[in-house]
Amino acid sequence: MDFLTGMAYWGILALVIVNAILVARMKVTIEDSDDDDSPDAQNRECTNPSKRMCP
Amino acid sequence: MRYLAENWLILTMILCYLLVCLSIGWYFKLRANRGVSDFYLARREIPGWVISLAFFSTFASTNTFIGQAGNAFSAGLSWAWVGVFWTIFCIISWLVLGPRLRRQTATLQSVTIPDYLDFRYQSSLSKALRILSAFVILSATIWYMAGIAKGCAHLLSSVLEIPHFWGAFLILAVTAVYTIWGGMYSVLWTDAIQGMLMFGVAILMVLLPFIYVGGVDQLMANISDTTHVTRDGVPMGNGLVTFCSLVSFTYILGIGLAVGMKQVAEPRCLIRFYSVDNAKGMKFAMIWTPVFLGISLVCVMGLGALVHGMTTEAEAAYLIHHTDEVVGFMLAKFGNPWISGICLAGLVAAGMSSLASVMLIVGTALISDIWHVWRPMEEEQLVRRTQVAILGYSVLVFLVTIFPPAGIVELTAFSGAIFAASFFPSIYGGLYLRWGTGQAAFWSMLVGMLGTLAWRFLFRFNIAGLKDVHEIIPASIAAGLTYYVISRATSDKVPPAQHLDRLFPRDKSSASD
Repeated sequence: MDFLTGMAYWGILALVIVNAILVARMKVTIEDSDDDDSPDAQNRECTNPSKRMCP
Repeated sequence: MRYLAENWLILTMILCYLLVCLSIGWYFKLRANRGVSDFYLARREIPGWVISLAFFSTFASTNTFIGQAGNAFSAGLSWAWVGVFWTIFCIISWLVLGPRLRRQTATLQSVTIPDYLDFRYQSSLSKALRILSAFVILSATIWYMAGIAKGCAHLLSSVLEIPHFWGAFLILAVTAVYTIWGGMYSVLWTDAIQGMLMFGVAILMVLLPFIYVGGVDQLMANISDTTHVTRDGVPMGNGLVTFCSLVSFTYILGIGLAVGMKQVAEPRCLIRFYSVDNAKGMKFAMIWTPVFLGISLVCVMGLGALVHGMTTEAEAAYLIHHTDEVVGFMLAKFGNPWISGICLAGLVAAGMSSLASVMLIVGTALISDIWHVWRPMEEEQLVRRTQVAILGYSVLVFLVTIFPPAGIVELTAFSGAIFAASFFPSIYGGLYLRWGTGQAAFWSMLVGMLGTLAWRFLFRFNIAGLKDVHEIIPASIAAGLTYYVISRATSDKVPPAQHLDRLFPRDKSSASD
């Protein structure tokens, strides 16, 4: 197997290792705001099925 | 009786696997029927490791484990470069889209990808954008689902001699039942189990050619210089182990982008981000999803080339024209019923995990994003009607599967290009670009879809030199440019600042502005 063909295989492994290192050092936040009193929320109510807003 | 005596072991394994899937659906039945948030999103309370495996098993399907693995039989070990692009897009998907999509969709109380686009852009075209994206989902997925169901049925037919009709019925019926019972809960938990099975089967399958011929050195010697011929009848020589000797890099790039970009654009993958329970779970998934996918691709993407080491010249001459049969041939030639049973279960799992995800996406698109927008309904009706829609769509897919149109495999890959070109600009723009407008999202989606169709049917096969340039490349460029130009031209139509401030809190993220 030549170098460029082999590179695909060890390249994938290198990618996942580098990604793992990067993410491990990263601060991940996904906090959500559940209390939605903003005016634009009114516009969504009737087509948002997660809310019991529609008659 | 002779049939049962010969196949009892494989049949038992398959039956156990199907019963486990149904049991999970039954277990979550009550919980899923509590409301839309439960049925559509599993209440955003699923652990990161489950989401990680579910993302992997949803993206990788029978197309990967049978189609792509088999394709290496004609393309050689270089075919693994497709896997490089897929891994890159998996990493991009989790790094760039995952956390932000989870955060914004929770803020907007979005439960589907089309309604995210509606709530995010808040323009006069938002409802049209939502319906258009639901329409793209409905029209593009049927070919994908039929292709997957057909692949599973073909597998059951070749290994267990189950007629194609009943094989397709069994796969679709079991998948539809557990999806209807447990909604997103059962889809994610069965996906996780299927993901574990698939990961193990990928590692197991790559070992088989080495074990069969007696070691690494022997197998590599067999395939390094072979007299087997290409599709054109030319001896391969050292082509299997030489970079892009049997396939052009442009073609590899096209397939790598067209399929890999599904991870950053296709709703069945993106919806996974909605259900992650917390930041810790998200971080786990960001690390481990590329690991599960990457290692599986290392094992699977060159598998077909390795199978050359197990074949005679006559067998290779047949398989080079039937690469979808390469994996089945390998299992049959290895001849161990335990191995065949485990691998068959893993390959069926690969198909069912993708089918279940798509079924749920289709049901929610049809009911929540088209019917509910046109005529709002109660929450209980939403869940009930989504279940009926899933059942109805499954029947339609079954009919397409048993009477497949010509070229369905090409259409399956083609649907991925439509998703990527249509959805990516509006999703990425929605997450990162404050100045993106609903008008831009709508027109870029339309341009992405029409551009894919136009390149495929008007240019690619009619103009010399364009055959290897996949439609994903020009269509994505056109859709991206459309998004930029129209956003700038309609800058007075951006959503209100108060709305954008909630989506792009400057103190928490600087990437958006």
